[in-house]
Amino acid sequence: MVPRESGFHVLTRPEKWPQYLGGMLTETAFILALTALAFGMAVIAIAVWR
Amino acid sequence: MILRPRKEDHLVIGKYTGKVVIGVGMLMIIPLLVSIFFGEWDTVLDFVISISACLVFGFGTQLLCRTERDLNWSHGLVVASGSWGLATILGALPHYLSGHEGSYLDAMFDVMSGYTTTGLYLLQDIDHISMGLNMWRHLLTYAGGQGIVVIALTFLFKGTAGAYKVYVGEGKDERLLPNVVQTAQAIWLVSLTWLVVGTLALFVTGWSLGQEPVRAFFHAMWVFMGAWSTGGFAPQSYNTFWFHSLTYETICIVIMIAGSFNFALHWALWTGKRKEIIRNVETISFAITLSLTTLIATYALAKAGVYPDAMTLFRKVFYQLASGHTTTGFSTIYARAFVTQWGPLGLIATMIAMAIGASACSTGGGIKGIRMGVMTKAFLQDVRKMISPESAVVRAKYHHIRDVLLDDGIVRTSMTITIAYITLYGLTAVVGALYGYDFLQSAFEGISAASNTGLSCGITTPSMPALMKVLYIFAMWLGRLEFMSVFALVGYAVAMVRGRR
Repeated sequence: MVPRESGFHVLTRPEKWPQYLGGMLTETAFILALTALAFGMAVIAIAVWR
Repeated sequence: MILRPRKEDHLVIGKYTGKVVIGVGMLMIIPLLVSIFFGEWDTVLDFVISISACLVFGFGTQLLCRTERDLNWSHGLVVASGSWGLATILGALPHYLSGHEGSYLDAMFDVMSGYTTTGLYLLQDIDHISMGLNMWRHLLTYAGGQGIVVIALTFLFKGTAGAYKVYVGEGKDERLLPNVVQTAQAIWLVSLTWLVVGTLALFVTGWSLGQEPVRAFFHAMWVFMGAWSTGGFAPQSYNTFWFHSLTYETICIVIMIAGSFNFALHWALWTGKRKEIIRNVETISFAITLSLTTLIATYALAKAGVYPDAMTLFRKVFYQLASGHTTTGFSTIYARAFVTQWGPLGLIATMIAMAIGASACSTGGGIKGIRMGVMTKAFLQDVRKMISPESAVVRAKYHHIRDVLLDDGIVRTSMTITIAYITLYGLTAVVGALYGYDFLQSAFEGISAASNTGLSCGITTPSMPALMKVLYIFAMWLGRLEFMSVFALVGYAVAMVRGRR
């Protein structure tokens, strides 16, 4: 019987890292979009309510 | 009928709880090495004593509780909550021995706050504590964010079929990979990768701001740990306000929001399912509630004219709201500014954000975005049923990694946990009010503790009543483990006394 591979070394194979990096960048882009929206709110709030 | 636990039950619980305590002792080796590196010999001694206590207890229970039996569901829940309790008692030793705590209760408060990633603290003269103790505080919160059981799963539970039950008992119920140990390893991979990238970004920023390299590195690592784990600890009493840097704040916002994401979402994105971020019920719920609470606070503070320009308004409001909603607890304003500057509307917006909290199966606390999404969908389904013909079949589904059909069981579970959180928020608010604190401020602090956030409006101090410290310890514990495993521990204790043989 051939043992199934498991553990960190399977998860950290070099070919997987471009995918992982893409995932991190997607997360960062989503967060920065929310941040930009909040900045827009502040600009409008100062213009309208202050 | 409640059955009294048998000797075998005690043995299996003792054995696995002991393993988690050994894990805590081994974790203390890292701050011990930091203390040796900086020549802090008093702190070295504190950690040697603390490690010895953990190992004696852990290996002692291994010797006393020898059994080949595996864990069942109730064992798993009791081990999860019991481990957190014991890890708090023993993990408080370095805090107490440092001389920076007013009492052992204060030390336990800080350690429970760390494990539960809350961020409230009673530690005194924080700007002058040793590097070793600072390392321990932040490591506690980083480890707590992953789940101390996840650590034990990764390193000590290998090959145990019952491990999944302890994992669930710690408030995490997602399997990223078919095997629970592989799931724990995937969680570590995500967290360690973010640790390297986040620490590097903060280090470069801190260094460019004028910090000397060694201090910039340690501060970067600790601030990362505080942000990613949504713990909110920082090495300075001024928290992240100390840096006065837009770049530092922006990096912190990215890390704390990423840290508040469900590990299943991270894994889906990291394995190529990029659209998940705009389809997932938790990210949609988070984006809506964060934007709404930010809008309320922005309106209140713009109207009051607290901040002079749009950039300052944005920096102050969004940072505190993102920190509150992710249940991190970082702040760039003084604690009393919530009361003296933000006013009732600003306080209420922050309280709503903290109460809702982060994502399920993340490092964060609170009711959680998935439950908000499920309850909203259920409400809309009921409205659609009312306006549809009687014969119409109205189905609703939500998307979380895959499409899930909304059924009564899912809605009932969401409602039960939400009601439990609201009850806990209410209890902490009322107790604070009974001690003479303003009700709104008491509710703010209580929600902050129970949702594991850590923002403070100034109530949490070493001089606060001991009963409130105890209540907040339990609120943090209950909130982090999402009630069930703590209830299981209480049920186990009741069964030992009143159960039938």
